[in-house]
Amino acid sequence: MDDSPATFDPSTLTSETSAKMPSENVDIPTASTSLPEPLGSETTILTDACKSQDIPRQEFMSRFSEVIHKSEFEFGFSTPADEYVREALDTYGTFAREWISEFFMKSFDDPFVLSAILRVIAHFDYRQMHPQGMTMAAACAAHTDIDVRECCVRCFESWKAPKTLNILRNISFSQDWLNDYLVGVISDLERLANHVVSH
Amino acid sequence: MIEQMGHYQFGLYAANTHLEPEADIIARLLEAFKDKSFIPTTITEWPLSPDLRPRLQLQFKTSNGEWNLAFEPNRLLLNKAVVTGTEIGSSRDFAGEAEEIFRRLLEVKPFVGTRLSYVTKGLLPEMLSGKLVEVNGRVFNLLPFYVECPPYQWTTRNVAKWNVTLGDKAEILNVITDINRVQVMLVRDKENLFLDRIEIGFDINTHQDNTDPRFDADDVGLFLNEAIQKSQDIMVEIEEKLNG
Repeated sequence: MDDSPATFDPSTLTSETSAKMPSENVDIPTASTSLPEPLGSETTILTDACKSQDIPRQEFMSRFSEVIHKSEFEFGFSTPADEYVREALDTYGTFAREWISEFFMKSFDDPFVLSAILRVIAHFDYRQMHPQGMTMAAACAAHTDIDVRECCVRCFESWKAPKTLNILRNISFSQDWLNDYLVGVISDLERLANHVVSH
Repeated sequence: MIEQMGHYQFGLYAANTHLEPEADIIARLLEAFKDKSFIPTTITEWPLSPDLRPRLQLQFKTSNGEWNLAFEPNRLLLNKAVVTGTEIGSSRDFAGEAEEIFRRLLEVKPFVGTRLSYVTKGLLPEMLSGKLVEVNGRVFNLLPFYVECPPYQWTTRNVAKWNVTLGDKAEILNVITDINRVQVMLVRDKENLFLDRIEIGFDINTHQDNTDPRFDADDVGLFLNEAIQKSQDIMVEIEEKLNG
């Protein structure tokens, strides 16, 4: 018998995804006594392994939001928010980058917070923020808010990472001044790339 | 008829679908999905084996969380969820979008699929408690105890093999139907909403014994059409069964 119980493995039949933390505004059942445990995935995402990080994560989100709202952002100047992120990176390493990224996603419809996050991460070395920093900046290239788009370009300008050229070359803006700024940053990075190659 | 849809999900299983979140691939995918309002993000992927290190999983999602395309270790997973203020649309609408998204995705990264899956879940309209008990009696041949004390929670899962042809490929699909009575809490407009409903779930996927790399972009629509048609046919049978 092909389907004898001794060899039956339900995990190979089902294709349900593994448990994930849903977005807060996702209107799906959040509690059920009868939903079966998910099967068939090789990973578990942000579940048990991350529970031990839950308290510092929530504390980080709350404090980061507070510090951002109290900081005065001006291009070229560091802020208490920069310092707070620096401390978090020292203490929590990659977790801190993930928390920033999570906070960023939650704040995607808030141009003030989004611009603030981009201004903060622009002050860090590309590798210190990689890959979440680059991913967040790329996500903002088509944002509806012009300040957010400007901050996106400033990140790439500040990081001076020629490997991000492919992202920048795929961006275009309807505002001439912002497009000129973008073209300038691309030129600078191309020069930098050529300089690196020639040495 | 499903009244409260939970989600639609399409999965394409293939080897090494994990993509490192690097600038080059993000740029190419952003270009491919530029009219979809997808934004790149990462989440931490925790391996079940303690010998492996956590790594970052690349995802493309809409800012409201309605759409999510995840690059899992051996599966590309597209999920459409219900979000406040938007209509989730029909399964056919989802199939059309999924076909288009995977056509573009597979042009950028030509993964060859080994299995395909379609999963959906939703709740039937509210029923009086007497009707919920009656439905239980229609689905089960109950033990005497449960006739006397009708269960307020129950689950059923039926799995069958079904032969289909997708283009020129003869395939066996697992057709899984869940009929459950559930008590769920929905968060709607920041209000908790308690529901006691019949839940219907479908998980239709290509058979696990065939792991040959064979599915390309053309197969996505063919598979989804078959899977959705079968789920709709079964849904009609469920309604007939429940309503007598």
